[in-house]
Amino acid sequence: MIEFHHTYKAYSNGYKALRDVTFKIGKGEFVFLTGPSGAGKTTMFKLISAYDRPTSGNVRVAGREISLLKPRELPFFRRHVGVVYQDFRLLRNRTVFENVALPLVVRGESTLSIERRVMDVLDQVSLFSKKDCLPLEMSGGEQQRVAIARALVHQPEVLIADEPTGNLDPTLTNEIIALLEKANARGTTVFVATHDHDLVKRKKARRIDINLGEIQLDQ
Amino acid sequence: MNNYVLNHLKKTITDHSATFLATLFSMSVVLSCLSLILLARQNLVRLAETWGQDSEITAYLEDGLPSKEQKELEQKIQAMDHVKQVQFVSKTDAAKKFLERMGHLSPDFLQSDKPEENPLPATFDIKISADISLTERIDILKQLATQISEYSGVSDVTFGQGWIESWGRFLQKFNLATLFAVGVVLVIGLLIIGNATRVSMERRLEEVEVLELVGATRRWIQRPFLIEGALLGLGSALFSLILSMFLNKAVLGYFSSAGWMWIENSRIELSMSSAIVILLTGLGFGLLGSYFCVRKIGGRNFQGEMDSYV
Repeated sequence: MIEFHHTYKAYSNGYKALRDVTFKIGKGEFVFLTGPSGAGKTTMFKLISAYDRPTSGNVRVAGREISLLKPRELPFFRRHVGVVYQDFRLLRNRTVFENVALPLVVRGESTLSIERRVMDVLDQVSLFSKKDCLPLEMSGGEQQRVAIARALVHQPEVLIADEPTGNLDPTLTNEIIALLEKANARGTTVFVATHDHDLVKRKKARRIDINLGEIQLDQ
Repeated sequence: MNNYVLNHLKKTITDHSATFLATLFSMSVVLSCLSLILLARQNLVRLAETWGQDSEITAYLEDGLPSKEQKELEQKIQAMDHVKQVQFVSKTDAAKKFLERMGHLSPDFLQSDKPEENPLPATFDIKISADISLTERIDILKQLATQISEYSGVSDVTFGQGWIESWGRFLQKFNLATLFAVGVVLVIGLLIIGNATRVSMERRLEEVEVLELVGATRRWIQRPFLIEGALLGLGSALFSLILSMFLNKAVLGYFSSAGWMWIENSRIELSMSSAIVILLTGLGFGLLGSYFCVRKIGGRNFQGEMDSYV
């Protein structure tokens, strides 16, 4: 589902963010990506969500080679990938319902189908009662759950989460990871970047460790 | 999409009402200037047409022209293209007219009953068709006057060429000035709308990023901004029409109360076609101004290729 093959990424200032990265994540896997700040985790996620392309080597996601995607194909490609960020990236002046519905609205789905799907996913993240709230009226954990609901509402093949629990306390962290595991149990490939080594140890999932742009460990 | 666009517009008006109203007001003022320029041009042309319709050619006949030749000459002139009416004014009638109009200035002039002492010549007063535009009318009058002056029995021909030509030249210059003013208004309008869209867009960069994230196409992201710009332009045009209508009424009211009574009956108002031009201009300004700003939006394909939208 996600495949890096001798991937290099260097920025225009000469900084080498990824060096000869090779790994494969199969369909339905749950994988943690660990490493210190500046290790190359975010660069890797940018490549997976087609916000950047490799300097050399290949990146394949959901059967598509990222470097070969044409600009007009990018929005359609991104519909196969759900993304969750540490800072939630919710629209502050839209309600929870509107935020979660966005991926379906841009696809031009019918109002009825949007309503049904959003209600369903809000129920899964236990936010049904908060559907009319604005993000700023909610706690950090709730906002992250809204972000996860938005990333899952269109049933993507791949879900990437960049430090989704970075700002949350241990209880909320467990809640969020439980949600990601639920999505994984339904067949979505989940790739989570985190600093939280305890969490990774507890979950006993596959872990890819990266430092200075190179893979240190894949177990 | 429709709900999203409506929401976008609602948020523009409620969350950024000051910017929205300022843009609406500035655009209305700019478009009002355009309305007033068009109104002035339209009225100057109408005035010229009205005066031009009264313009006629006067052909002065040689003294002692036999009545048979005079009849033949009248028929020849009547048969000419664009000639609507030919009226013969005899020496006696010319004297009568002169005395009616100017007699009080020289009571002794033309008091003799002897026709040979009347210095005024007989004339043909020639009117041309009314449905000819002013610029064509000047050329036609010149052409007819030249032809008629070559006929035997005609001693001289006049058609008030001085003022007609001056008026024509003035209108030509005014048309150029109108074009220039329309150009200036166009640039200012585009800048205003472009700026408003840019502000609206900068406030929504975060939203645009999220839309890209969830797979919105470029056109989808641009559409609400374009509609916002178009509606802003159209709304401004509508306001400008109302504003210029009131201004026009106020100016006309001032002049008619100052004794220019004819102004009141002259139907000096913006024509339907000019109003449509203003509305379409507003709509076009809105679309074009916002398009220039949002043409790059949603084009964030790969980092580094799209450093900024603005």
